[in-house]
Amino acid sequence: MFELRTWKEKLGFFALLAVIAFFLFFPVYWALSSAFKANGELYRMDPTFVPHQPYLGHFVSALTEGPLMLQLGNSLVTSTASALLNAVLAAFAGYSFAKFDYPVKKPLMLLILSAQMFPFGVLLISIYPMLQSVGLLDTRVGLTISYIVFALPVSTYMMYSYFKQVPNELIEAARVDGASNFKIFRRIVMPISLPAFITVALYAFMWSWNDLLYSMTLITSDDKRTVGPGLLLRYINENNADWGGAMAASFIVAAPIILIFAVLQKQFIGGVTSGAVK
Amino acid sequence: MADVKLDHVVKRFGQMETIHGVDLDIESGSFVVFVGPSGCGKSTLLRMIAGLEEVTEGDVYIDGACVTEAKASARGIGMVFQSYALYPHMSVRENMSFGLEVAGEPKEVIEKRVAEAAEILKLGDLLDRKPRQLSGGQRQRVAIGRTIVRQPKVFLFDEPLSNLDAELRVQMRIEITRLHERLGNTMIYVTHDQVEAMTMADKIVVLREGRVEQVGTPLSLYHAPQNRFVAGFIGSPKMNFLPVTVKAASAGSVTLALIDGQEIALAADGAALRPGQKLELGIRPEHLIVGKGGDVEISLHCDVVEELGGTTYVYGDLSGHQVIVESDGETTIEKGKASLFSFKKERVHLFDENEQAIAVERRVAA
Ligand SMILES: Nc1ncnc2c1ncn2[C@@H]1O[C@H](COP(=O)(O)OP(=O)(O)OP(=O)(O)O)[C@@H](O)[C@H]1O
Ligand SMILES: [Mg+2]
Repeated sequence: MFELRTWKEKLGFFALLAVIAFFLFFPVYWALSSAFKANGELYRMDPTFVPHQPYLGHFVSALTEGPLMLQLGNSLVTSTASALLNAVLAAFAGYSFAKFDYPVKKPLMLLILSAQMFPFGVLLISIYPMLQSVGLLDTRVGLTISYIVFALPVSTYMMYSYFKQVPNELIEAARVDGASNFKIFRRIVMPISLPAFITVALYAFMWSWNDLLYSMTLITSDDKRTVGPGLLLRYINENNADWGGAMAASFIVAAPIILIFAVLQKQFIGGVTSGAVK
Repeated sequence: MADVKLDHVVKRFGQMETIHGVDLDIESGSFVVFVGPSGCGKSTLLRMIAGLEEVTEGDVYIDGACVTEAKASARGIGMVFQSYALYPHMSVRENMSFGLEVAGEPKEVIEKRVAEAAEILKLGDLLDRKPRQLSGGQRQRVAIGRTIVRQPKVFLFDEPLSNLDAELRVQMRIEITRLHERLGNTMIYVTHDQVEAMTMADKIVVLREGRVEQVGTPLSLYHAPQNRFVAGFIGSPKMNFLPVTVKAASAGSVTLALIDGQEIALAADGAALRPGQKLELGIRPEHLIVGKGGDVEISLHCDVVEELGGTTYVYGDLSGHQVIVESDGETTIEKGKASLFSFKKERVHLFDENEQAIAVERRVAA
């Protein structure tokens, strides 16, 4: 790490940070403050910067009126399922690529990565008839699978890169200790690869949680809708006058992601492998 | 306790052959050191014994049983890796008990064996620490402890001390030697450090480019190297090599011309030699005497003198060839001048064009 030495350097650095932070966070701040303003204050011609009278009505109505709770549940189920399945599959595939040798390995890796080259909209065109033919259209299972299709290539590659760095001697030591391949994977490799596993799971979780297109296309029943299309259908149309509610709902929807990041932040900082080698 | 036997073991990585048919008999209970320069195949050979590397041709026997196809865990070996390879997320105790747990040993047995190993290796206070909380020497002890608890028939070490600093290395060297005396197991130890080899081994196996150059006790390698490579590899500083020309040769004596022009007669096997043949004469730095006292005297122009206190190294020049002399710290030699040195004929080694040793008669026991 470099150190900022002179006060000039420090000042410049913080000025730059402030500018970036402003552009990043001002819209977020504006939305958040709007969510806490009662309609009277919200629609004033001279907008207030800080809500004069913090108001929770929008949150209450967003949650109680309309299907947001149901949609949150649907999103939670599909996102969690796709996150976990994606991470488990990526871990297996990545481990096999990183630590085993077999004839078709290289072409197989290329094939998997090449799936990533198609825009997700294009993938949808082929996923749709496939799900249709197996009767999984308009099901949460079908939606979950479609999320995994998208997230798996990058996830596999991420797990592969991480496993590459796991020293072979560690695996060999466990082999001499008598552990089977699966036991080595479960007891030695996975515990020290937890940061990568969590990162990959989060990647799929966020992708599915924030998705609009897949859910919009693959789900047609109201009771199976997830939060993305839910928000869109309820608030983004010319009849909507409930901007406070829209902001509040947006924050309710964003909350789980923010929460997860706050809790798992520590996991992203490596250092778990230190002490294995040298 | 178990003996280890290699029967014409060959290793190929793809097209490249790195081990060229190694035959080796390792006695039960002995401490054998594989030594050789980097890339000579020490690790590969050890890993084939361990079952971590496939044997391309030939067979490996442990305790009389052919284990060529056996899994590493079924061979009765324990391995200590250069990088220690401790499981980073497990405590010292868990590291040591993992193998036993996998083998399905009952809890009491595991606890007892871990306690024993911890006692032997003085790890008692560290059992609940994670590897990252240990020093290099402590990690190495845990790595050894992890193999001890499984009570292997054969211990395999692949350069276990090379990550440690010099002082700790000497200390651990002694600890491993003690461990061998206490446990009495067969131990195979890989190093490229010839001092480790000399001090620890019952028997040294010198390897070069995937071939065994010589097998023998440390002193037999020192006194009677079978070829120039072994002669140069064992001993520090390296043996001096000087070109010589055969003047006359018979079954019991050889007359040689040294590069400074003088002729010396040696009691050596000259039956296969003919006059005019170029040979190399080897003489160890510690066998060169300052001043008179030997059978042959040479005058060296000394350019560098390293005084270490107890020992003095003199770097001299004999007709364009560097000669190193090791003497005690008492003698003073002037830099930049010619000084007289000598050596005894019985200390001399002779090598032919194929780098093979020619027998020289010695009064000192080999
Ligand atoms: N997995 C492998 N694939 C291809 N070649 C290999 C492989 N492992 C080792 N080799 C080659 O085999 C030869 C012997 O390697 P090995 O690791 O046994 O040497 P070493 O004597 O242990 O050397 P060092 O002292 O550097 O550890 C080297 O030329 C090396 O390049
Ligand atoms: Mg090696």
